[in-house]
Amino acid sequence: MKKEISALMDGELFEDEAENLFDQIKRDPATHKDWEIYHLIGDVLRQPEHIHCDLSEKVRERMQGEPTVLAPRGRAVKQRARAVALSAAASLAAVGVVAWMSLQVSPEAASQMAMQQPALRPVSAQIQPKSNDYLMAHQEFSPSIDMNGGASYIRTVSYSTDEK
Amino acid sequence: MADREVDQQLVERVQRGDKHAFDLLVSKYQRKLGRLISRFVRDSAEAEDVTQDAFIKAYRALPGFRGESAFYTWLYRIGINTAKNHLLANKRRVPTSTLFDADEAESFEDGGLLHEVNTPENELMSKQVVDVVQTSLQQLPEDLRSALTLREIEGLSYEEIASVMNCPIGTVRSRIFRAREAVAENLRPLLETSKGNRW
Amino acid sequence: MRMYVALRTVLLGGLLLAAANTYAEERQISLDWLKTVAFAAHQTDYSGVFVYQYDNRVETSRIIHVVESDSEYEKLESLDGPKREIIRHHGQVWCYINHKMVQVDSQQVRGRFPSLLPEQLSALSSNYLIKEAGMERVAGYNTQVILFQPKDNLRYAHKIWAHTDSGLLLKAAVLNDKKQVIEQYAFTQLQIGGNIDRSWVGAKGFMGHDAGLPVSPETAMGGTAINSGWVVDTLPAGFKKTREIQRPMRGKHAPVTQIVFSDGLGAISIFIEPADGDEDDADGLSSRGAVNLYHKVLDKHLITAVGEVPPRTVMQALDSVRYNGK
Repeated sequence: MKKEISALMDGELFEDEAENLFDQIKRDPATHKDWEIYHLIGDVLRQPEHIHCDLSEKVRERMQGEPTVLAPRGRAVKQRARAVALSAAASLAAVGVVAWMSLQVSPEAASQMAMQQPALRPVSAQIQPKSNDYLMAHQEFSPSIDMNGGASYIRTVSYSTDEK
Repeated sequence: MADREVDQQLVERVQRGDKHAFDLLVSKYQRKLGRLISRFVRDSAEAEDVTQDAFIKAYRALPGFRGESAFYTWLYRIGINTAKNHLLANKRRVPTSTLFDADEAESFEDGGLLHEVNTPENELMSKQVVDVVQTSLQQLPEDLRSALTLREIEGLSYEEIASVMNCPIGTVRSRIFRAREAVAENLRPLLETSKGNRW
Repeated sequence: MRMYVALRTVLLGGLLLAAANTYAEERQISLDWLKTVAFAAHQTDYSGVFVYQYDNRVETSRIIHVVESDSEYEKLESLDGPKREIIRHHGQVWCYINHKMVQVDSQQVRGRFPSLLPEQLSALSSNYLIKEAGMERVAGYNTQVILFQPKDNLRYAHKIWAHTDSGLLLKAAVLNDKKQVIEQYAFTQLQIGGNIDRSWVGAKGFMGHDAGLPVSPETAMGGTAINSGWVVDTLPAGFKKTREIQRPMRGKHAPVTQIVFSDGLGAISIFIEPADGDEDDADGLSSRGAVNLYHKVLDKHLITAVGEVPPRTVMQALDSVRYNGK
């Protein structure tokens, strides 16, 4: 069932398949653990500053004391289609202007943000030192040389001294 | 978008009386919510309590959630309110920075401060978990590693990954699963021993 | 009735968009200013300390850049971690490797400054939305923030903080479509113009022996422009071929073909060389900061794609490489 959990969490199952799987997870603690650990892996990959925590059990205990919530029925059920892949040339231009507004920040917030260290994109597999020469060969012709000047070069030699 | 749909489906199960479905949402978002709350509540034990509070509040408020926003956006707002109320109740200053939408706030985290917040035991555990995941990732065969990276880090759908990697969707599904399971195999012993050490 | 409603919606929608565009026009960045910004790093004498953040690393380095008799001299050295130093002059690059300076590159540099054609800059707006995003102070200087947002998800967004006087970039960030910062560099101390240390520039302006730097014969040959016969079919809109050369590379016994494509902000290099048969990690995707690298063995050739574009773009580019020559 692990394979199904993997597809389920990525939203790649149809609604009825997902419903069945949720029913099964309810009955099988081992499968629940797979859901937990697969999500942990994704979180760690995305968040270099990983803080380990394991609240599920404690929350579950507290929930046992909670009355079961129910939402009124008769709510319109949204049709859920399978995720559709974005076309490679998906144009953001149409939503561009409206989306831009969210990037304008208020002055106080801007100064606060300037002081904070931006969270960097999670670390995927690192380019190995032996590939440094490709980076350097590419760097010389990259537009970043025009804009940033030589500063970008520093990343091409980050591991040079490890070479034999 | 597919991610939202899974959440929405779980929410509807909770709204039909399935408490266990809420467990699954907790497992999914506990770290993300915990990190958000740590920005307000410095002490790690306290932050953990407040995070639990936030989840319980969310559970109680769930009948009123209409799916107009993404579940995490809604949960995020509950998290902030719970944290702020906690600070006020303990007569502590609430930070003035206005946080925008959930994604923007995620983009700017003061990672350095989070380490001050963590207990030494938890910090060690966190580091070990990261090491095991990173090492396992490096040891994966290239096609598995690429598939997992494109899914978890670049957030591509299976269909998009299939197009990028030039393979059938079934192969993408299989590669991602095998990658996850390979990393999980290395993680399980570590997590088991930590559970054993609890008292 | 329905048609009337539909038409009205279209008209209103159209009007709104036009109004929005007008607002956008008023805040467009002028082409002249962009050109100044693009050349500033080449034309200005400056010396400073900057912080470079990428992946999990935060590195501090010093950079000195001076212009003498129409050529540029640049020295870059790391201020933390193991010693790293790079010296660049007129297409030649030296690097501190294994406790000594080694020449790693030598490219023919035509003309005084890189020829950035006006049409390349104006082409940027076909593929990026270019918006001003406020004014901020960096390292004590006033800067204008400019954001280049890609119109598709095949490239990264670039955000730059340009000094309002000289156009020099004092801070720059590359962001992905989730608005996460992938890499960022920012000056913390900076001196523009004035008395800048030139002691490391060789006598008579020559680098090489006069400056205590080795000149290696193979590397000194640089690259030759060729028509390699290799083509890349799948590239994002606006990527144009800017280089196609055959060049030596350190540690390789045969020259390597390098084809470079660029859209003005990001570039992709495709390297093609004979496969040794002992390539490990073929079919691999890896990254460092905003640079993604993907390689695989195809038909007895090792093909490597490197670029400041998302993984999917380097992968699709490489998968579309084929030989079209004789």
